[in-house]
Amino acid sequence: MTEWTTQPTGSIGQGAPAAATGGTVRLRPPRHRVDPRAIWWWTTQWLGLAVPVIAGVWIAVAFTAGVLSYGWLIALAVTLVVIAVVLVEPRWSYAVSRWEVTDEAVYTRTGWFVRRWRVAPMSRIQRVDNARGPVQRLFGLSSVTVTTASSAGAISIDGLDHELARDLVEQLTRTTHAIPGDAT
Amino acid sequence: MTERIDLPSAPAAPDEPAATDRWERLDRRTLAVNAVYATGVAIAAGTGAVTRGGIQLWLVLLGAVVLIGGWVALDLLRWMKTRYRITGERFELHTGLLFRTRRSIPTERIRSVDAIANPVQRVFGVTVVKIGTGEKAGKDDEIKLDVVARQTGDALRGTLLRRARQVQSAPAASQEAGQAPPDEPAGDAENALARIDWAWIRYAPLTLSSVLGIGVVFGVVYKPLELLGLNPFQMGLVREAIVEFEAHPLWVSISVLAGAALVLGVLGSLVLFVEAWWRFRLTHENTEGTETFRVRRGLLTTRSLTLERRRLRGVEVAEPMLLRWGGGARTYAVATGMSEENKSIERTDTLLPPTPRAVSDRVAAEVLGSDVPDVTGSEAAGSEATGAGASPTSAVRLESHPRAALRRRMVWSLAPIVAFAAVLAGLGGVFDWFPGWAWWAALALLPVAAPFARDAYRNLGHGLTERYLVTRSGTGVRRTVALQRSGVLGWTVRQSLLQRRAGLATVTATTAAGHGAYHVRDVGIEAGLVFAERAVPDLLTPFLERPDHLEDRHAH
Repeated sequence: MTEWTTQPTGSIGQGAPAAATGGTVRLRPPRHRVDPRAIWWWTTQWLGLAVPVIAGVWIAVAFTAGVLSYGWLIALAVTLVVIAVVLVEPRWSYAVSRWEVTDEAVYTRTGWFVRRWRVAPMSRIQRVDNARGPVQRLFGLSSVTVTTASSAGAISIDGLDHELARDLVEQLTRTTHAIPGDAT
Repeated sequence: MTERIDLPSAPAAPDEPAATDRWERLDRRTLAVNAVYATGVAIAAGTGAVTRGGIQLWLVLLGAVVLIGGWVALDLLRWMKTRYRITGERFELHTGLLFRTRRSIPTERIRSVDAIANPVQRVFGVTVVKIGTGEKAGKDDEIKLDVVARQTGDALRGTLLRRARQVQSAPAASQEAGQAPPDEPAGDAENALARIDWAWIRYAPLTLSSVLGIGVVFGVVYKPLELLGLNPFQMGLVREAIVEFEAHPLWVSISVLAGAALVLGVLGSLVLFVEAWWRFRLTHENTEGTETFRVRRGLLTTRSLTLERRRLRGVEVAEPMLLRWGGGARTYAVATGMSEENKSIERTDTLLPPTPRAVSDRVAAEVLGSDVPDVTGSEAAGSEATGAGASPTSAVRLESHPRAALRRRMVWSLAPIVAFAAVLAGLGGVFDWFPGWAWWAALALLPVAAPFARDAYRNLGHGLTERYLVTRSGTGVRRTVALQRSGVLGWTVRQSLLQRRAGLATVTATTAAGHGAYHVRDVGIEAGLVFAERAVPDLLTPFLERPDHLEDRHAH
């Protein structure tokens, strides 16, 4: 920490170190994947949305058949898009979702169209939660959420095996308790 | 978390030993204050009822008596049921008629004590005291003493903040408090950083308040008249004016109306400015080692905001477009424990009225501490004659973002217009009643939107100083935020598919203060990562990949 603050600030923010290495700096993926069962959990969640949408569209078509002769085309398109999302999103998310917990920080990668890498240092974590919804329980999964003092800073690791999640929460709680300070 | 300790039964307070820990009640004058409120409402409602007719006078009077009596009785109950005390380590507050709430807050959690008094309360010499903890409290969680005597309010402020400081012993005090330059002599000292300069009123019409101003003037004039049963729109003069309007071509009427609105808006904004910033001063106080900033202002409603330096995480300089064209800026504190529900009209974290940009930067520098080295040499800060250091919000030469960010802004602002025009053109092709020129009109928006996109791109920037990271973005409102590097609680890097293809990312610092997250938008991915890594040493480093592993800066 000290070596940084004593550095001359003139070049800071001008990309100097990157230029010095001549290569690209990038975020490496976190070490662990989530549990593969997460794919089915997410599929189930999407189905909960997709089935009513598809049903609704076709019902609407049936009622407006007299007015809109090409309504079934729209309905078909909606159905295909929704099915594609249900099939693709969970697999894509699974491919992206990664997590890692070190002694210093929690590091995750999530998303599909939009990827998010999140880092929170252990010293700033205020709370560790372990949540299991009914669907998650069905698949033996669990979510771990770490919260910092920032209203925008909660990091959630979804789709962990629930035994693993329990151990992780224990580990996180131990580590964060060992660090003094009010974490703001 | 606000701790709510539910005691098994209300402990009879007075027989508790320590005399300093006595339970206190609110000021009795709350009854008088509420009687005035009730009378006001009664008069307003009564006048309306009488002038509209149909209700007998004695009924109206009876209603008024019941209303006032009931109101005051309720307040009496509230007064009887509310008690507070300060013990060695806690502030305790018991409230509630049916649902008793007992709150016990460690004094070390108390971050701000604010006194607000409206005109009625000022006449009676009382004030509302709001106590802020470091939490994002919901509306019901606000800790409020409504009302106490003005002197009691001042005393409470002193006691609570001093205790907060004492309990919070050295190790927990944040790093920056220790670093703060001892530019004040030990002991009590007060030092004005800014006072109202009435020349600043020229910025009032350039702020949102000019829009509100119309409403204010309208409300002040129209509402009371309406309550008296005189609708201005039915009065002769206005009627004639309306008739006059209808006699002229539409564009004349519209421009006259617009002109009138403009005049009203300007007048209203001046009125609002005077009301809000009367006797404004921003002071820096050093009481027994507790450094606080205090904002005091207001003509009818007096506001007093106290902010401890250790809560301060930075400063936000916001320049709404009109204000920016006029060379002005608004200045806000980025601090922990400010409640999120900033009402749109008046933010509680306001440090200054709309001021010239230079004043904004000078105050930012003084508030943030003047230990920031002038990074860029002479250009920005050399002109400051005050002797204070350069402000992070102005002195840093901000790094601009890649051209791809400009393309992105162009696409995002122009594509919707093109799409809209296409839809209009399609409609024009299908239906013959649809005006065929409509899509040309839509396309005419393109040359208007493009400069905005360009401006948005030019305003993007980020930089670092020794203790602050600085980020800027926005065109409608350009915001420059200087955030303490030690106040960063984590990073989020966001990249959509489109951003990935353009080599951009949005890098977000999360913090406990202000909005909770501050973005460096559409920065080149590599520059963004390096920026984040340097801003908070060691946090991001283990997760970065460099092709050249020889360069290990953390090898000693």
